[in-house]
Amino acid sequence: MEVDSLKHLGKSVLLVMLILVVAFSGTVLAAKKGGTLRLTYSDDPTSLDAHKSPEVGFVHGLIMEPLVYFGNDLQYHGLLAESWEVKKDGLEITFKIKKGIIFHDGTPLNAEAVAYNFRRIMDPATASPGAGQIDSVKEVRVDGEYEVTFVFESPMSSFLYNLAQLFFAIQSPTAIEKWGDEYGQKAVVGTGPFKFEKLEPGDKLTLVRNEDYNWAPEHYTNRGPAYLEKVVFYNMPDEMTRLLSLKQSEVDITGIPTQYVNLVKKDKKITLSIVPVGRVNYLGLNASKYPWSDPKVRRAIGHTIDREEIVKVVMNGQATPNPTPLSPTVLGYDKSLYSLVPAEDIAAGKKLLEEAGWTKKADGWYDKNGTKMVLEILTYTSEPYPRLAQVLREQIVRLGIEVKISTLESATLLSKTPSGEHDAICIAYGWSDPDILKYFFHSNNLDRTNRVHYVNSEVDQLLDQAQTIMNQTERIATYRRIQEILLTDLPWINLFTPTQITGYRNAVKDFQIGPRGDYWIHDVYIEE
Amino acid sequence: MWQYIGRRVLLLIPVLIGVSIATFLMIHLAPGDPVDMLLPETGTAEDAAILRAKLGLDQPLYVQYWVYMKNVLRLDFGRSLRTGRSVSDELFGRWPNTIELTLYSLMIAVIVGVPIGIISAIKRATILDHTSMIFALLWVCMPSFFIALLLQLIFSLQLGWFPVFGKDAPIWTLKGLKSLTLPALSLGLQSSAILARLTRSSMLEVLKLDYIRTARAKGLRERTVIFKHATKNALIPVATMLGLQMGGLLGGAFITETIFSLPGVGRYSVNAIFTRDFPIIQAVALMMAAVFALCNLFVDIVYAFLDPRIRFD
Repeated sequence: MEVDSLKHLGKSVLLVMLILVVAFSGTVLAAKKGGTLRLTYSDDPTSLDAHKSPEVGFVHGLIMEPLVYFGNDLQYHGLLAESWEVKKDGLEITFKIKKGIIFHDGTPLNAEAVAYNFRRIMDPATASPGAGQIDSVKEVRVDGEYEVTFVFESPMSSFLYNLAQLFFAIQSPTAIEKWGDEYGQKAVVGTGPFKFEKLEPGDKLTLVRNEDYNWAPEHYTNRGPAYLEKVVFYNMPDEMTRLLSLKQSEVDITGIPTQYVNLVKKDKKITLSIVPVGRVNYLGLNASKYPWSDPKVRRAIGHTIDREEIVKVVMNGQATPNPTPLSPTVLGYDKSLYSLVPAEDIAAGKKLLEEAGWTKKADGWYDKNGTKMVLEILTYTSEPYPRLAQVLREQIVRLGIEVKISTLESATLLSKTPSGEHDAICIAYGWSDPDILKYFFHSNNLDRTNRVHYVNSEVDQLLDQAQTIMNQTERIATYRRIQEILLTDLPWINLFTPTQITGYRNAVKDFQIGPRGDYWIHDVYIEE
Repeated sequence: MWQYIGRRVLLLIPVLIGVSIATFLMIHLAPGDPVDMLLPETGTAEDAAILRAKLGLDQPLYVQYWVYMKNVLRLDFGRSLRTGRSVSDELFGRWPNTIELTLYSLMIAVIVGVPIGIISAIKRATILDHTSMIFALLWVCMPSFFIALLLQLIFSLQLGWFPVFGKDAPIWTLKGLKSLTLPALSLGLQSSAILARLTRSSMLEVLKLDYIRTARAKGLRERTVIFKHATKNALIPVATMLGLQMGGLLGGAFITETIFSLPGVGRYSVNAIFTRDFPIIQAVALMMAAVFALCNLFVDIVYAFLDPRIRFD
């Protein structure tokens, strides 16, 4: 009996030990979540100070945060803001700031800090690239320690969209004052999950975990400090090198160019994520230069476009044909507008050209009063633009219009459009709010971003109006009307929406990509 | 000789002033506005005007040039239009990387190219000669970016001997040396091919000369004839070419640094050209001109050691 008891006791002890070992190893495993995440970027950010950088992105978003963010439920949620209230028919919006949030330098986040940031962005001396987006803001008023009110000249429907962008991320006023001109280069202080450690220009940027962080957005399982101890961005301009370094496990996550997708698909160590992004590639025809100023000529060219072929040949199938000016991920995108776009129909195109007074000569080219119709397309030197322009040429020449292609690097191309002497441009834009159309089609922007010199007073009026409509349904209806006009007039022949292709090592766990293509890494850890 | 060197160094001043004016005019007359590259699509014309004024780009060209030159004389190359960082700080931080890469490549070029050239000349019209010259021709024809990609695919991806990119340690450590080997090979192999062909032809000419015949007639060993008598003279044109190659390698480093993600001057200036970052382009052009001129001066001095008949009068 005693022997049995001893045996039982022995078994029980063993069982308890086993349970302890399992529990302990579980704890160890959980505690082991961590590691260093190695990513790439094609160049150092212009400035880490989001208020002064023309391009802001993932890097900035790890160090600093905006008041609100765009969640995977496609709604805006508070990030540094607790809540907000729209008052006086949209002429004022009051934000309640979350309490207990501190910047990396230990100073507290409060309404004064938020107001300081916005006043800094709006100050012309800062020359902030984002300032134009909030030009309707008349005043930023501090209403209490944690309450700040934005006062507008006219209601601004895209204010939350703008606010969610990192151009308007909140940074430590103390650090900004302390570092002066060196702020953004040698130091940057926000409230984000990672702190700036070191920027080695041309080489790499290192961020370390913010141990005090405990206000992660709701879409993460982990709401406390990030699991990753470090995030390192390697400056890698060559796309082939980025790809090889991922295959060689020298980096963990990188973007994959469309032409290499099949190569990566075969690699068992790499997972691919393919998501559509808020980007549209288009052929813009100069609507103020004859003969492209004639809508019939523009529509005739529209009849030559085969988007399926473009996506297949140019984008290796990694894009969605899109004949409208907004990406499918953007508010106002409407598939029912496709019917307004000229379908591929060469005979219909020829008919339109003839209606416009052009005649086909014996050599096969269209001609009017002895002048042959020649379209010169300006495009970038980088892929996929030259290939895209070549496919467009093959499609358009079928109509009897000669097409020439000029590939220019971006600075040269952009400098050529304000004078309005060009015929056409084949470029792209990326933006996730329909207000962007104002920059491309409003006659106020002829000297800069209205690169097709499109002038239409009705469109101007609708674009101005859409910016101030706070009611979402009305706003969508207005953008639908704007797109109807644009797709009838056709200053832009929209081609496709590319996909964002990201490759990451299987060792990177719990990596997610947000609805706007942004990397969500708060739950990520490296499992070797 | 010191007088000669002093005179040559003084001559650098007008050369550099000329280069600064030419570069300044070229980049300002070329199409493309840095402000376009610094503003997002949502930037308005007003934003552009504010930024242009802030960067001093609204001033007349001669004012911009005058301000620039005043600062350059104090070794201040201004601040990058794009990042606002000090160009001098960045350049001085990056030059060592480019110089390391260029010297390592030059070393490879000499170590590989000169012996192959000498052996080909000695073993003229043999299989060894033909094979090495065919390879030399192949290397000369292959652009450095293609060689770089081949090296990455073979030695990094397949064999795993060298990293694909970057340099994480100083060159005097094994890790640092390993990370610079592929870039230096991709840059240096082409030069080695040029040097091999040049050494071969120069050596062949020298070997035909009377003094070589005399040396052989004296009964000297063939090794002494080749290495003591022939090689020294045959290397004079090679030394000239080395000076030019140094310039070529510095230029080639632009591409190699981009492919291998090395933080050197080459990549810095390529990015600057694309974004029309004037202060950087000007500073790099000036420094490159100075390096070229100094390399040529160095080659001239080396002449005197190789051929005592050459005097600096």
